[in-house]
Amino acid sequence: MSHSGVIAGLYAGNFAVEISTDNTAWTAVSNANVKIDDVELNRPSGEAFVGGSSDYATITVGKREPLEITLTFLYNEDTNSAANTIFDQFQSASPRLGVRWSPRGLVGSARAYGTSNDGGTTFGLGVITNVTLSTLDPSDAEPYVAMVTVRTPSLRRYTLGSSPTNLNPAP
Amino acid sequence: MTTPAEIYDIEAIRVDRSALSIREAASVLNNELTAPVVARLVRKAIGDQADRFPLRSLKAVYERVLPQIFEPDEAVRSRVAGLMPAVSGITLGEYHEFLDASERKIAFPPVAATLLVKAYGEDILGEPYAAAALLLRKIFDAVGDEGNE
Repeated sequence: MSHSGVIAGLYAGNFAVEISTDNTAWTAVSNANVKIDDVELNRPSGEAFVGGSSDYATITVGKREPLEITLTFLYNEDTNSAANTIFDQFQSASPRLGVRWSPRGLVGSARAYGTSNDGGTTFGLGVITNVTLSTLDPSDAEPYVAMVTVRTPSLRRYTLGSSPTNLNPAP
Repeated sequence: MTTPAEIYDIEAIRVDRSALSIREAASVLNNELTAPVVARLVRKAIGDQADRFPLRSLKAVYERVLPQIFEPDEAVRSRVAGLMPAVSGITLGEYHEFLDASERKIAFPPVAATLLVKAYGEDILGEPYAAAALLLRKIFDAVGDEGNE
């Protein structure tokens, strides 16, 4: 890094997304995925002030908070469409969904992220905490969309292969 | 109707090594490993994790799953490391019978189960088959020690 110049910014419009209902078979949904909302990784912190002459607090950091991933999809009623898959999964006895995405898309050695239940070692299914069928408004000219929110304990950060055709990790 | 997944991750399949216990090993392995037998074993070890994979993935899935059923992982190794065989109840005849069966390439001779039960107790039959070879080796290591006494 340097104190001068500007590093290349990333245009993320070519991002790639896959979802899974069983953690082994994944479905590419990039062409139906309109948006991934902010994914926030947080840790709680605590603080304590003590007597004496110290003029500042001591701060402790807690465990990683679960995080939420909200995807917005084009509404579609085809059997295997993302919107249908998500609705069916929400209705099922095991409302879980795996999500993984690459901000740069299917680019060799690109960084990608996925839901994980073990701190990031392997992929895992998160739980679907919300499905939203958006407002029906005749004055709205935008495409009709549906949203899903998946809550997961952690993210797996990994690297794609050299010539990726999907979001499987590099072998 | 389920359509085959276009994207599937064989590496992500988790294998339950307890799908083949030592108790079941003789009846499964000493008979012909027909396609239905192998299929049942694989299904028991991985459940429905590969159900959406296309049929062409069969060989790759089996090649990943079957070795894990038969070979120990770290968890199995450390569990075996914590067990001490009691060899005082094992006879020389049983040992010879085991060697004879091994020479005749019997996958899991009944006497192997006898040796394991005598050395580790009846509960050992519920352990994964992947632990069997390590458990037997521990018996013979202990026998070797006794012979030197």
